[in-house]
Amino acid sequence: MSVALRLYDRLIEGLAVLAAASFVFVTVAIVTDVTLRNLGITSLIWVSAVVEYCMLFAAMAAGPWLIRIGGHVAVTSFVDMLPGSLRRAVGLSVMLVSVVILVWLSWRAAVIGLEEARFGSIDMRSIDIPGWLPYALLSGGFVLMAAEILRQIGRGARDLGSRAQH
Amino acid sequence: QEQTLRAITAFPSGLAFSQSFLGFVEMVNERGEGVVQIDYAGGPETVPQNQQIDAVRRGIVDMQYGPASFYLGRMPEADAWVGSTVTAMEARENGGFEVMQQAFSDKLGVELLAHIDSGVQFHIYTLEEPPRDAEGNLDLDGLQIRSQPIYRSFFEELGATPISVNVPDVYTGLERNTFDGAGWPIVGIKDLNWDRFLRYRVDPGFFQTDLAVVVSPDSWEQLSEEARTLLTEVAAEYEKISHDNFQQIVAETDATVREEGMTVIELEGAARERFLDLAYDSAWSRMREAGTEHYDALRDAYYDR
Amino acid sequence: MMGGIIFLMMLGMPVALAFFAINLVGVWIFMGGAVGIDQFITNATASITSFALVPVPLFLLMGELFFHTGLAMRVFDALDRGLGNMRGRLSYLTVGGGTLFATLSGSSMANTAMLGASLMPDMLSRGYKPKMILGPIIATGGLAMIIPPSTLAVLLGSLGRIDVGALLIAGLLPGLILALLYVVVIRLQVALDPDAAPGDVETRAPWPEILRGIAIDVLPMGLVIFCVIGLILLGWATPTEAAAFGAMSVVVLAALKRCLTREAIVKSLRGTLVVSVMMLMIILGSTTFSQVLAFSGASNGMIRWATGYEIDPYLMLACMILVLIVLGMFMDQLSIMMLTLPIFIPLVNALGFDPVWFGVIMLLALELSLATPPFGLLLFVMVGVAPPGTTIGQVALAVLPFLACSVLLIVLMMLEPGIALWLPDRILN
Ligand code: NA
Ligand code: NA
Repeated sequence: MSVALRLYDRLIEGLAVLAAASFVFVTVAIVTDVTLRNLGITSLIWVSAVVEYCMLFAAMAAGPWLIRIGGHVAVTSFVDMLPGSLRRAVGLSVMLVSVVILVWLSWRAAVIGLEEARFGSIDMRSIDIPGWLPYALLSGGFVLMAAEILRQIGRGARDLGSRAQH
Repeated sequence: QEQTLRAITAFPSGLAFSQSFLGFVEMVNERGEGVVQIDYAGGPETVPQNQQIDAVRRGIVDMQYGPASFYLGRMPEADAWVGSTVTAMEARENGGFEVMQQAFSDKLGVELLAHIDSGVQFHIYTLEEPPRDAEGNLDLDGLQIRSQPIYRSFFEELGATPISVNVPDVYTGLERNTFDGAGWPIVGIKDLNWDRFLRYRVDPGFFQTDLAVVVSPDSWEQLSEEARTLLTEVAAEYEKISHDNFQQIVAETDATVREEGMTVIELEGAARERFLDLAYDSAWSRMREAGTEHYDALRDAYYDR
Repeated sequence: MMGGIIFLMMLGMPVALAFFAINLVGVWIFMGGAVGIDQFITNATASITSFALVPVPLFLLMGELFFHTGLAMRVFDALDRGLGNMRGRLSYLTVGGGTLFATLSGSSMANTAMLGASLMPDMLSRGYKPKMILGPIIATGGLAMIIPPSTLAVLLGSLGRIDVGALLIAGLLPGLILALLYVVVIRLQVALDPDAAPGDVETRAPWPEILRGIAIDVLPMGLVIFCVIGLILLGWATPTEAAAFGAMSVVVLAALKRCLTREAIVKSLRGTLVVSVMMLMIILGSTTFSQVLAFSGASNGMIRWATGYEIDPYLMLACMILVLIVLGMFMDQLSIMMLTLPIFIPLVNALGFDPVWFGVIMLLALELSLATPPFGLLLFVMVGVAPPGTTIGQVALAVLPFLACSVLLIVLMMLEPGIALWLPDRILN
């Protein structure tokens, strides 16, 4: 396995760990905010905006890893009835179509995000969030999900069915 | 031949503001028979609130109605409407509206048609009587007030702690004293049943509604000269009609809530002036800090306190 | 478009990606080509950056921690000893516990996920058949939006101009009746198929042992309940925020009981991550799908068609419920409400129905829609937490008898409106 691939694998897992960490962060942030508020000390006004963005961040950061472990829900009962060769062909086409969709979405999200950045727009929530951020998250998440599907094809996987172990 | 525009609104179609826009639609459809018609496609269930302006810019819908301040992050000039003290009709006369049309076009990429439903103000509502100091100034030190981005900095100036609570949680929060009050337009306080708990209202009201009707530039280009003239005429007329309608609704709402026992805390004299200064300065200084070449022109046209 | 999604899902495409694919086709057709794709991405940025979704991962984390630290097992063991030799007792326990959690949580997705994460592993290891596990969990999970607090009831009240307080209170009695009906269904299932659940595992323990178990293992759960519901009642936290305290309190409790191992934490976080990210991805796709459908005018056309005739009031009501269920098969609940309420509420007033009573019926119909195939989100939550190999079909089949309970309750409410209206009348007047 080349160094690049190994780094890539680390990246996907690292992002999943960050996503899990963001849920811990959300819990701690809300508890802290509410506690400080009720003690009459202060209110952490940034919590709601940051927590809302954590949802998008977690989805995009752990999305590729979820593909790796087969954690995305899929309906496999019908495909399982197909004969082996046809099943592999269908599975492979679904994977390739998914890659095309994800790359396309990632590209458009990047274009819109760059526009927003050039314009300097802001998402006004409980605090100001740069307008390009949601698009950057979407673009990054989608392209990594596409990459992960290609990686799975490279490893010989022929479908995206659920095989999550948890 | 007749041209049709598809329109969407930032609020669900049942709410008072959307209903007012539908009045505009009706008027256009009546007067524009054979020339131009508006086809109402729906509210935020079609395109989410804050993303509607992008749909207009891209020409996916032809017309949209909603608050300009939703796009403050792209167009700081929206604060001219938020912090305006003149009516939409006056601003159309004195050239302010034209400057805003320029801003909508440059910053948001859409054609501004009308500033309707103006003249509805925001108020601070509280659960308990809000404290005042010896000079009668409102002193919200230590109070937690449910806030929205447009009045966040104003509430901070008043000493309150602005907190951000999503709308579905506000009812339970008020019921349980989770926070001490909220800012909200004078109409609509009864829609959400918040008036059951918010028993005190601080007068005067501050700011005013910033509801715009915008059209996609491509659709605007494609309209016949006749259609454009007609839309502009109806827009100007409806600015006055809707303003007057809402003045009546405001008066009725005010009478109802007082009758139902809401206590109105009237700030007077210097305290009133200080309160309003803090409110309007917060909007105008936000616009100046965000930076716009139109600041002086807009200040002249929209602000005459 | 519906057909397209079903086709792609049948081909084994992950549900989230199937939604993406069909959205792309939909926006291309209805929003005018390539700009539609850009708008889809723009809309998607709004769909999951929402505070209302935060309880989903938080309650999931709470459920996973419950299970992986062994706290859940202890509670159920203690209650088990009390219930003694009773066939299908964990299914009853699901209904009981789920109803309790419904009073803590305002979100059906969060409640279902929590129940699934904490109860299912235990039931599986004891040999319960899927229908005894999946059905009760989804059905009871759905109670969260009927029994107060309910985010959906508040939204329904404010969008439909129905008295929110009355609507919240009105949901309590129908919610409890529904829970009772679920108990009846489980009893019937055990009677018809005695092998569905183990019954002869344990005999009832002597009283001192039962009481000791309850004191040591069940009573400390009061801390969790206090953190979720107590903080709301005291006004210290909003219902959404309380979910964070719920998760935190399980950590504290596990630490006190010395079962907070590193392994339990890692496993809980992993489980939370898998299910919540899967959910968030599906919501990302399905929210936009709802919007495309509303934008195309198709949904509006259907509502107007179904309610456009002058017929008997109760037949009209049935039409409205049918519209809700059909829309619910492929749209999210908020979109359904925004779409239908402007048409339904004037209709309800014209027909002379009580709006609060109608509100509860509408909540029941919306709850049904969350569990109706092919797009009921709760079904996906369940497949997400169920062991590998569980299919959507199995889940849907298991939940069917429980859906019938909701339908029955709606009929009962038509016969006796007091089921919904008695309590708010007593409390508010
Ligand atoms: Na509930
Ligand atoms: Na659904």
